Amino acid sequence: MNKEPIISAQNLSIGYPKSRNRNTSVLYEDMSFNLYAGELTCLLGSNGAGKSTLLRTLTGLQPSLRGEVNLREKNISKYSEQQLSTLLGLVLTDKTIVGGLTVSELVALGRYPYTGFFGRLTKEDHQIVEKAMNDVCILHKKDSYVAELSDGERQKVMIAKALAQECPIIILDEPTAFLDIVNRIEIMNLLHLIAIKQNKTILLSTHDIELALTLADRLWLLARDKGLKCGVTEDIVLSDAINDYIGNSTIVFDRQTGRFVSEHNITKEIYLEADGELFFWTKNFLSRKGYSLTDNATNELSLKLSSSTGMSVIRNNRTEILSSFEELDLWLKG
Amino acid sequence: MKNNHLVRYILLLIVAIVILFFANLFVGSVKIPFQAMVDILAGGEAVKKSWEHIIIEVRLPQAITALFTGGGIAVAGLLLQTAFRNPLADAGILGISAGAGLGVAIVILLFGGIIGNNVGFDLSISMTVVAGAFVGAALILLIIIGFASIVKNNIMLLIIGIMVGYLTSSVISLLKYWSTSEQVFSYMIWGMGDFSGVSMEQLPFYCITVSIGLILAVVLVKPLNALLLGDRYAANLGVNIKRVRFLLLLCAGILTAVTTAYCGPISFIGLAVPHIARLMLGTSNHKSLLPMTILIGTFMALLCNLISVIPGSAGLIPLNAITPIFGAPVIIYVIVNQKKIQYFN
Repeated sequence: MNKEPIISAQNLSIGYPKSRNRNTSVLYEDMSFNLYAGELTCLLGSNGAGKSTLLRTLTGLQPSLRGEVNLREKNISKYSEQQLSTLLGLVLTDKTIVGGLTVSELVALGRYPYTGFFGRLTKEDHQIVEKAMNDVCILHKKDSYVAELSDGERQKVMIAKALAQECPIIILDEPTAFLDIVNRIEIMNLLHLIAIKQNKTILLSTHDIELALTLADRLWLLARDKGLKCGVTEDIVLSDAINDYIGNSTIVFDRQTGRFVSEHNITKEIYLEADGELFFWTKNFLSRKGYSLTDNATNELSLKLSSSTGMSVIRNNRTEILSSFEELDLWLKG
Repeated sequence: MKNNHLVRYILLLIVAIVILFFANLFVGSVKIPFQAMVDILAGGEAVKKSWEHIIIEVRLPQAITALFTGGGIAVAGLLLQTAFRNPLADAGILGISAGAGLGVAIVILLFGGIIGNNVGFDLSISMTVVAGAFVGAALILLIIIGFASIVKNNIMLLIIGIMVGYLTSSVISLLKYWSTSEQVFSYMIWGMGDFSGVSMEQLPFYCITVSIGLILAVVLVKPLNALLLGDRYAANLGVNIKRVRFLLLLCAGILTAVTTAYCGPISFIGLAVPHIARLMLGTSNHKSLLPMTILIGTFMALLCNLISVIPGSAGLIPLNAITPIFGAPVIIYVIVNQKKIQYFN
């Protein structure tokens, strides 16, 4: 049951070589990883962990210090720029000045490696550009200038450019940064679908852990003192890796909900009886107020909620009926 | 889709350029009847020998020079704006013209004359002046490229360019201090900008050199568009950044050097014309931008040259007194409206 990786590295060291005013700075040593076709891999790590350096090394933009990155079993530094441009498509956070190009002109730049001297597009090129725009649902804006687009649409156009490049591998550096929640979900969904439907290898760095957990096939965790950990998302989640690599003493990963929560100062216990979303949000409310839940139904404080009867609260065997969290707040204080 | 616009603009500009070209031949300090001008151009006998001389030896080379120079410096501006990813770059602001001027000043001191003022034509001298201008321009370009790798902020880079320009000017001032007053005067005249510096004999050399620059620019259209995405994106598309950048700057250097050597540092055409082209077309696609820039540059140069001879017998208005009247408002408009102008984003 062995899958052939499309990109792989063994014992790779990354960082910056010795220069005039700096010694060699090694960021990571002995990294090993594989990327597979048809999978979406998310690279997670805190700010300054070296995600961008890893992506640069992986795309051949920056030489490795030791070891090599292999693309289809050949050292990536052995490929010419021309060859790489048809294998590896990039979506970066770099500032561009493409506002004066139309969407289709920008996506057509993805055909650059294939077109002739003056960049004239053939009929086939036009079809590929059209399809790329269609794949990211931006076709209706093809004649709009890029300047007229929202940030999310711009990101889609850059992804379409990478699609038009027809590379088996697409690497994206924080494609969801600066986007609102709807656009973030849309972009991640899109990349997930592209990986599956077009059998592409997609690697992206992101801070959107919750989205990554639901959509990524694999996670790569990167932390300065621990190195790189790779694995299928659920394997990673169920080990304590996410907490170790990304959390700290006050922010911890909750495996139940798949979210990071800040450790509240828990002082009191309460018994809670409720269903579904009522339970979830009541627990949310209580833990914010510094209460942890207990299984002991005879606890000094207890709280029963149901959508029909409302909130009944019991303190020292005295029962009260409340109608809102506003009142619950007052009751807890009193 | 917007091709219709482009074709219409191009046809309109060509018509305007043809009209302006003949207007440049017709208008001048000596009144020559229109019919006589047509006869002379058609190769017929002129009523007065001096008319033929004026049309063929003075006005025609001047008009042709304006034709090529306008396109050349406008394209140099466009290339620099894309290469530095800075819409306010041009040879003047980045100090490259000043560098070319320094080269010219040194050569003039050594050879003691300005090419245009030379009696008779000596290719070796004019080649030396052009070479001097090119070395000067290339030197400043290298310095600016060096700073561009350190200073990422566009505006700061422009200010460095202006500073480098000042430094160059101070060296030129020193050179002037050691020169004879005649040399200083001829240098000053040169500095005012003038399309009459190219004689009929020098014209082929001039036109061929400018054309080489323009052809090189046309060849670079494909990578120019990719460069709008920034270096890393462009490299990912297979653009050999180092080579393309070198060719771009070489091309801008040749165009700036040769036009500056012969016509002086002509301001604002390189800076403003690419903006006029972008504003008219709404695009930053070099495929349509480049021909528009050439044509508008040519149009502006011919127009400015025409205005410069309007005083008639009272003499010439220096070109650099006219070009800012057209150029500066465009740049101010662009800066004031930059949030609304799409090609800034």
